[in-house]
Amino acid sequence: MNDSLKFSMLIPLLIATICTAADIKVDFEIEPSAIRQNESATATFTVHGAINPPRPALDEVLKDFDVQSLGTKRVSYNGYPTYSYSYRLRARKKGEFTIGPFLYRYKNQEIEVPFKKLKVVGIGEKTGLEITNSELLFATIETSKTNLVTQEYFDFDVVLYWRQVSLSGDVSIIDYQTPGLQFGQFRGTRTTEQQVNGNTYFVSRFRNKVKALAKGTYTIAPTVSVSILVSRRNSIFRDTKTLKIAVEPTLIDIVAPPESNRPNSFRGAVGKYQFNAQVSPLEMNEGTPITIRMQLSGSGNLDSALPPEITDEGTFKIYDSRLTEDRLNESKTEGRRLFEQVIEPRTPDIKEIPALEFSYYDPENAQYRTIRRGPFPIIITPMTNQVAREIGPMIVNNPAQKEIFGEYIEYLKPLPDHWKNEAQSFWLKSPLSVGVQVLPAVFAIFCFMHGRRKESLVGDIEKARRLEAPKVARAAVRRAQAAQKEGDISIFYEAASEALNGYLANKLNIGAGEVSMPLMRTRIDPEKHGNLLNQLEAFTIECETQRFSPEGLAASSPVELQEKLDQLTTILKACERIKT
Amino acid sequence: MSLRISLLAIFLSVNLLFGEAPSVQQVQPLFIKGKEAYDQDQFTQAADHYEAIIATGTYAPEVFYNLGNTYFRLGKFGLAILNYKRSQYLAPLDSSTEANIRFAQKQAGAIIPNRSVFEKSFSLLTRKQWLTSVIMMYWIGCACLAAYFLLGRPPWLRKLILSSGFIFTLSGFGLAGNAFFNAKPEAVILENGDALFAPLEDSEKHFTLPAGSIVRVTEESGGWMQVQSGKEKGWIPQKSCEKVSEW
Repeated sequence: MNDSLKFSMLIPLLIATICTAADIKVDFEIEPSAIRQNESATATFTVHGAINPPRPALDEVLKDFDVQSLGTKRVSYNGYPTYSYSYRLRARKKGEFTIGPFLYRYKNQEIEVPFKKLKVVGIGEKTGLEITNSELLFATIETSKTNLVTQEYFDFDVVLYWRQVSLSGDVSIIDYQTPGLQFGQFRGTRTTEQQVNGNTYFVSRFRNKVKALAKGTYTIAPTVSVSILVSRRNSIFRDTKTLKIAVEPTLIDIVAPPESNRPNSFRGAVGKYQFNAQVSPLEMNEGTPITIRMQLSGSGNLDSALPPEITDEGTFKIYDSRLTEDRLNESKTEGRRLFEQVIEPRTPDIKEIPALEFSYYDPENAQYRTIRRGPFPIIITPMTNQVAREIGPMIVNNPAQKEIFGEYIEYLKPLPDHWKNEAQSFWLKSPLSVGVQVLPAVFAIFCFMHGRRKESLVGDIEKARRLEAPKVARAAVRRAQAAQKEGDISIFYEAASEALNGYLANKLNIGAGEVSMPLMRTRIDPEKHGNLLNQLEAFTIECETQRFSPEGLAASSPVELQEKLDQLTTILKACERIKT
Repeated sequence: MSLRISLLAIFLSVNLLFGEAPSVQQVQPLFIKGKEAYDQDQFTQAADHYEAIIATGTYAPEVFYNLGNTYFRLGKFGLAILNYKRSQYLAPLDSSTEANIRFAQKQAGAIIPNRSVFEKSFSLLTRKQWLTSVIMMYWIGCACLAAYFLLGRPPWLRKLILSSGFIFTLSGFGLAGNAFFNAKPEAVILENGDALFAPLEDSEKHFTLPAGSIVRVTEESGGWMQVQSGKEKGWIPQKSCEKVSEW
């Protein structure tokens, strides 16, 4: 072995030695270091400089958490492989948890991984990681109003400003829920640029519509959770870091709509409303119900606004009103609602439906407003010689079938036509019914095969006749049997001859008149079936003799005829074995 | 004679498979009494009558619907929604039940799960109805195929075979979709309660479930159930909710 060959063999050995000797490095990070109970933290275990390192055994270390693996990332930088294993941690209870230290084993090495701390606070509590008033990243609240009346909606925006930092895109508003206020969903707008104190900031606005529910003074102190990208030291890669930005709280003062000058028809509507009403029919027979259609539209607390109430029970029989159309925007602050109210005049003397009044509180102008529609003149024709019929709720054709509670609940169902019983299992569960399911497929397969056979016989007359031969023979043999029992020798021999001739004609695909012994000897191999041919000839001659002899039929006893019949059957069976 | 025997056999089999249970005679008067009590605003008595029907093991969607109305009038929204859902489980296409569920849920402030178009479509029929449709189409398809081969492959039968095959496939999809979406059984929260992070008495509260909220049961352990509401999962005591499909 020459020197160069020895050297080339040493190189891989040397590389392998260097590789195994090289120390690996591990990092263990938990981000963020404090979370709320409804949030999760990400634990990342990174191994540098190892080839296919095993997953760290973290079951014992993370026993206080619900752990979900987020997968493995492999990157190679400057020829060194780096494996990162990420886990999502969700705490089961509050507290300060120390995670680690623990040992990580790779081949023969044992690396001690230092502990990390993770603080878990309750939902709504501050984690202590919130930052405020950073010049590079801050958030503010903008509200359309701070003094409101109950049921009033207002715009609530959280505006995020940042510069010289990169946001990863994950921004969420948390801790905004406040008693006495009803928040909708925050909706982010497109990022814009804005000059603030001479600096250009990126600005994202998160909009919400908030409803004032109860009077009082409330502090809204939301937190903005943002993920920013942080560069790694000596690396082109960047990590994500979650920051919590505390926003300067805002005070909201809510009062009830004023008692003074409150109209009787005020039913809680706050905003700017339009109201319209239509009555139909205006001319009717006594006992006919009248439908009043009322439309509320505009902006405000439309989701809880109610139409005017008709309370004149003495003059009209009044049914509950119901909502027939509800076209509101997503935040339920604008749109229209249609209501239907059915009333029935109690007497034909009524000349009008009184005016309908809808009142709402206008917070912009701090005053009540009332919209009046009607009165609506009506003409009722009295019913003569018969009693005015009783009218049920007119929402359905059959008044007995439905009733309305407040708005919508429908009446009881009638006695069912069909009942079910627990003891009656589903019909398909019984083994019999499962077994029966095989039948259609079997039947279809049978029909398919039968159809195929039929089709093949249509194009193959020889085969069809061959298959027909035993049937023809059987029919004739049956006739011969009958004749034998009756002692009718003439019919017996005629049937026996027909059985033989019919069978052979079909079997050999020749005409019935063509059956003759010379032809048989050419079609049936005499070497193989010589004995059969002799029997056949003898039986044919006997039949012919009996049928056509000038001396007439020789008397034969039933026993003799039976012998002949057996002989015929034996010949036919032997013929079946002939291959044509 | 043989025709008579065949007809009798068919009648008996149909009666055996689809016929009414013998206890119907017992429950019909209870149903009528329940309705009468309800009409007289005696809702507790009405509920007792309807519950008595269900206790016999004989039921119908109408019983659960009426029981739902009764509990609604008693202000027990959780039980009302549970019984409406059971009625809907047995008769998914009933619009009154759907309307009442929505109204009761609105009244109770319950959490209404958003159902996708697919989920709604696959829930148009119950699993048994989908299966019945599959089997019916299988029988019709096989009969058509048999006739097709026996009658010398007439072209008009091809259309019938294709149609039954199409409906068979569609029903098969329906059955599979129904099974997929109902793999996690639905349950209704009976009383306002909290879902916890872990199945332990002293575990922290995760989220609140108002009475009448409809959840999916993802796991059961001891006396606890893990339920899913939207994307959140939490543990609740088994007694605080009831599965829609088990009564």
